[in-house]
Amino acid sequence: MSSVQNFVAGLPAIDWSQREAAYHIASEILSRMARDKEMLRALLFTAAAAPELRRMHECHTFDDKIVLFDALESKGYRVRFRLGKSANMERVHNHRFDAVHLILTGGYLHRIYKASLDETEAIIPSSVELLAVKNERPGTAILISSDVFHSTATDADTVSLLLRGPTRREKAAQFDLSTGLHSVQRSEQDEAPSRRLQVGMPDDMLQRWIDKLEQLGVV
Amino acid sequence: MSNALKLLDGFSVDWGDFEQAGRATRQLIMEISMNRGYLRDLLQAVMDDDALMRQAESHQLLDRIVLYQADSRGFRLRLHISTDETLDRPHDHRFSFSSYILNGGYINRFYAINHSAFSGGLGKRIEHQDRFHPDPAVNMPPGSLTLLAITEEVKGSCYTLHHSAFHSVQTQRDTVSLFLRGPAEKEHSLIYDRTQNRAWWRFGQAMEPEERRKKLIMPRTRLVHLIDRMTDLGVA
Repeated sequence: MSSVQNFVAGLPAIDWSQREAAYHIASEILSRMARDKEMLRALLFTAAAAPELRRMHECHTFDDKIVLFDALESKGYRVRFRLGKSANMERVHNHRFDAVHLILTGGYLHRIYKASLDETEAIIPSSVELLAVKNERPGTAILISSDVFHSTATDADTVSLLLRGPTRREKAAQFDLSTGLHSVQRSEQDEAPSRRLQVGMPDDMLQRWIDKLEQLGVV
Repeated sequence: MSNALKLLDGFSVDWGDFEQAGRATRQLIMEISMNRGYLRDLLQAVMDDDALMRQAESHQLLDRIVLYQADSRGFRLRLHISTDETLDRPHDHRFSFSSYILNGGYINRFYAINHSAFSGGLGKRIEHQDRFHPDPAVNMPPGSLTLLAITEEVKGSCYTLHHSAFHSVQTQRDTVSLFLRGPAEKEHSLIYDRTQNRAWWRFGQAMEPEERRKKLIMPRTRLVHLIDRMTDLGVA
């Protein structure tokens, strides 16, 4: 077995039915990865070469993602880099899964909201209420459950490790406060092939992110 | 007049715009926190001000010292110092606030609460203001609280919380925060003790029984001790 396979095999499983306990285990896993830059680098290059992970790397308007390993079936989680872009709009959203974030570089203005969904699972604009605002900085772990709505206005060069659990809802909703536009995100399997082509990360972009991660001292 | 007082005398905030109020108050408390001399001056001023002295309180989980009061300009500035007891008690507040962590830290848990768990009117709630007099009308069966999010507050963290948010903080030893609160936006808040499955209400000073007020007032010796402790911790 390679060192990467050994590393992943040695990680604990997470039971997401206990969110608090899941948060603590996930925080420890992410902190361990952040400290071991050599391993993080090995995971990154393995992910860049492994076809089953490579097809999961994506480019989006606000952030890109590079999936480092997928242990959803065996251990209950998948870990990726969340790579923030300078595009910095206020978009309230929820997620299809619980996730723990560990910021490695940069930071973001984090807003937590209360909101309700209509029968189509779109956010009801009049229900959106701001509950908390915080400047999140590197080194602290954040749990965002599938039951909460939030937004992140990222600084330049914001890189996080994100550990996500199993899917809890079919769709994730987004609402842009400035334009009033709604959008919905589905799982990869439920997306149209045209969208998969649209969000797939081209090779030159992957190389640019690898260069950037090296330059930032993340790997 | 000290620079800290000059800064505070020139500040006012309208919490009607929560986002804007949060931005302005976070900036203010960060500025004060970055200047150790400011805090020292404010604490010293408390010792010379009987009205502020009388407002210093010792609670089970924290000591709090009112450093500056400007209700007509939308804020009160307090110093919160955790006691050695650390309990995870979900609660809301009667007011929105901003907080800056000067020392220590805590896990900040955000919850959704099922409000149908409450019954009983306000008239009854006023009789249940502490853990020794929990409100029997609050029934919180399993599932009443949903953990929504967790953030870590460490030295240097700064955040703003709306009065409608339900959260809990489990402090480390010697956690000290600069805490700026806005005006009361509701009559009472709720504190829930999940280990005992009991809850009670928190009202403003004017509605607290005399017996409770007497218990809470911080003796001058305790205040002096805490100010010295702030120096030891390098906070002021």
